[in-house]
Amino acid sequence: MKIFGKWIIYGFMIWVITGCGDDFLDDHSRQINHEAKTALYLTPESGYYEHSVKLPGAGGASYSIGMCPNWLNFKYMRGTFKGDSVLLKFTVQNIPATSKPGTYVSVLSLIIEDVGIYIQPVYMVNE
Amino acid sequence: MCRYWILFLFVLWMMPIKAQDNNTDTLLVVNPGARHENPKQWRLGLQSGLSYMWEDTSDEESRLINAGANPSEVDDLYNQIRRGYYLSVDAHRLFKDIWGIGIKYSLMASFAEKYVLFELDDNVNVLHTQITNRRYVNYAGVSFYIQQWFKKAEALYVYSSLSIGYAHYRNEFETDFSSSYFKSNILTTGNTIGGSFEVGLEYFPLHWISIAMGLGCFLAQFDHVDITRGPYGQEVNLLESDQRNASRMDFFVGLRFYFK
Repeated sequence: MKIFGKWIIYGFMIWVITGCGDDFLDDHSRQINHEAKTALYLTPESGYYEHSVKLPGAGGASYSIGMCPNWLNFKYMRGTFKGDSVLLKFTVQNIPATSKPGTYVSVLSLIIEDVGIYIQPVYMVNE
Repeated sequence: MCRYWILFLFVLWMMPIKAQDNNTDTLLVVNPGARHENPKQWRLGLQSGLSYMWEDTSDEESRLINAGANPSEVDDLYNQIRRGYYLSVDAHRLFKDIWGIGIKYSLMASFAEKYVLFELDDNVNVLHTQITNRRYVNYAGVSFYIQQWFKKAEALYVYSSLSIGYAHYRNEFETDFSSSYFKSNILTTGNTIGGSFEVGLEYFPLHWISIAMGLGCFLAQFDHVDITRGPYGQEVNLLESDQRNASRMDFFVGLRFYFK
C-alpha cells in the first residue's frame, strides 16, 4: 500500500515538473542553411508541376512547407524525405495579385527537421 | 462574478450538512452496510479524468484570424485546447463518518497542436506554421466533504465536496517558424482565488476502499496576468471584459482510501 502511494506521488511530481519548463521561451529560430542554386520559373499555364528537392544529409527527415506564394497550391504541405530527396507536387494558379503581365518573385521555404530551412526562389512569369 | 458563484455554491452545499447532522443517528441505524461497521477518520482520494474548459478564447482567435490565419484551422486549434486532462489528490479528516474537512490539489492540463495557414499582408505569400498551445491550471485549497447513502443496505454512496483555494494559470504558446509574425513564443501566467464543486458516486467493494466517479465544476477568473515574450515580461491588468476565465467542467473516476 505504501509503495503504491509512493509511486503515485513520484509519477505525479514528474508529470508536473516536466510539463512546466520555460525552455520553450528561448530563441529556437532556425537558420536558413540551404538555398537552391537555381530559381524555379513557372507560368500560369504550368498547371500541375512536380519539383524535386535534393538535399544530402536529409534522408528520412520530415519536412513541412514553411512559406510559399499563394499562387502555388500544394498537394501535400508536409511529408518525409525519401533518400536525400523529396518530390514536391503542386499546381500553379493565377490569383488577382498576379493577373497583370509581369514577373512575380517569391520564395518557397521548407522547414526540415534536424536540418534547418531550405529556400527555393520561385518566379511566376505572366506574359 | 466567479467569486459570487463560489459563495453561492458554498451556501447551497452547507444546507444538506446541517440537515444530515440532525438525522445522523437514524441513518446509522438503518444502514447495515459494511462501511458503517468500520467507521473511518481519514480519507485519501485520487482521481483522474477529462476536462472541458469554458474559457472564452474569442480574443485570441480573432488575433490569429486578423493576422491572416485560416479561421477553420484556428477554430480547430481552440476546440482542441478546450479539452484537457484532469488529475487531483485530496485528503480529508472525517467527522461522524459523514462529513469532513481537508485539502485538495488538482491539475488540469490541455494540449493543442495544429498546422495553420496564414495569408500574409502582401496578399501573395502564405505562411504555414505549426502552433502548439499548452495550458495548465494548478489549484490547491481547503476542501469540505459530505457523503450520504444513495441506496440503503448497499455500499453505494453519493458524495459532494466544495473547495476554495488558490489557482495558478499557465498558457504556453509556441510556433515552429520564427518570422516577423511570431518573433518569439509567449508565456502567460496568472494567479487568483478559485473554487470547485464536485458531486459523484462512491462504491465500496471493501470497507476501506471505494471506487468513485463524478462530475466537477471548477471556477476561476484571472483579472491580471504576466505575459512573457522571449526574454521580456510584463504584468497586464485586464479589463473586466477581457478577464481570463479558466473555468471548466471535469468528469473523473478515482479511488478513495479510508483509514482510522
